[in-house]
Amino acid sequence: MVRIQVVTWANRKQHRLLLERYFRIRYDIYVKRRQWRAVARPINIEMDAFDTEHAVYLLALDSLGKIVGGSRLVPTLQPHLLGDVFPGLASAGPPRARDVFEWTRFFISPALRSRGGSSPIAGVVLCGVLEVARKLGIRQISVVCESFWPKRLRALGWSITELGDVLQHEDGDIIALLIDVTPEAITTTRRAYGIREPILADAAG
Amino acid sequence: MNNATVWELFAAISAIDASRSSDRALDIFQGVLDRYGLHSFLVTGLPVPHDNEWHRAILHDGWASEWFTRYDSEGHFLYDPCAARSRLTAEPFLWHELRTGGLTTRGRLVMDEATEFGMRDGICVPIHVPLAGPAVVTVASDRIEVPPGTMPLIEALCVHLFRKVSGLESKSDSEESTPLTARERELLQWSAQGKTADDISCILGVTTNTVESHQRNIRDKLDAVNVAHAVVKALRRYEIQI
Repeated sequence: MVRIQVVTWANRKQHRLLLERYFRIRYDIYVKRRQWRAVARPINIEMDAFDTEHAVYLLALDSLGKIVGGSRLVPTLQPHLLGDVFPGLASAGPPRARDVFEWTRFFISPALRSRGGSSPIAGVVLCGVLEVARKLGIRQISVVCESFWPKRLRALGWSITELGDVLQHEDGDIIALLIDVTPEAITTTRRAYGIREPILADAAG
Repeated sequence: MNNATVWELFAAISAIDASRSSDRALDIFQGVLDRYGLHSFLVTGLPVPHDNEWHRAILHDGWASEWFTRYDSEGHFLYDPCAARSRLTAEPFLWHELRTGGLTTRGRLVMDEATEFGMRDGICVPIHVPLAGPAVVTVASDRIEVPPGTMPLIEALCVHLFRKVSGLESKSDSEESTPLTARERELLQWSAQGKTADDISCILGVTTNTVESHQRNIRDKLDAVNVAHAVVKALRRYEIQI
């Protein structure tokens, strides 16, 4: 049984150890495995300039409390990756609005990734992102992602707009998307992964 | 190591810790720099090189404004070898050391222009503390002379300034925390004299791993972010002497 724990600036103190583990896992994934050179550093904690008091973390925890996946949401009215680092990916300019958040650092624990198919944990995190967004009143989600994502998300029934062209980047080809947060996308994603109920125990609707 | 210099730096570190505002902490820091003829310093987080809005991460801009304008308009941040090395290393370094390691043409341009603006050399103290992104405190002048053996204290001075200015809460040095063992004190005493983990392993005839494991325990006991920080805390608790 995997659940999503939401950690924000407000409850970070209660979850200090969890957050520390989370940043270490990010180091393991992004610096050691994916070798993102821009975020490499001498301590095994990966944090970037957008890990601020505005960030909302979604941590997927298994029944033992181990982190098995995660994602980060950052308000687009605050500094964010598309706005500050890759504005060129959005030909009409990066969307910025109170109800638009940017989604970054989507990961599934490497041990739990399944070969070929999509890991069931991915379904939990994807549903989690949409459910948390709904709960926070987020209407759209912008994301800078690898270029295979549009196809994958559309297959799940997500409504997405490509904000610009694919950019060849040293860490892989990337593209910017704008995702509509809709109840339909939640329904089709749940169905695709055989998830029967809300991931967030306390999610209303 | 000159005792007066050591005590002066140590007093400045304590005063920064005790200061009630980051402005006060910056004044104290500036005061120390003035005594050594250092005129510019910058305290900043280090976003990724391609971040166009990197200046939002600046916590204190003590560069000459003409240099800052030039640096920004030329887009130097993307190529700045000081920023690049500070992201990747935990050890303080002097700007001129970058040249011996080989610079890109664009990186050399950044350093050459800094020289033209009266910053021939500088010190970078990279800051890598848990639960914060990479950051740096850097100090520059037309000439840098670091009194021998004071680098650990200068590092500590910068780390403490950063903690104050960044608003990262620090646990108070609680008296009931576990005291260091005799071996840990001995080890830290060597660190206080500027010895590296490798040096200490030779001196004490143990492996570097053992030294590092002791240092981890010392940092845990003192709630210190690095060895330099541990030295200062241990000095304050009278567990070691200089």
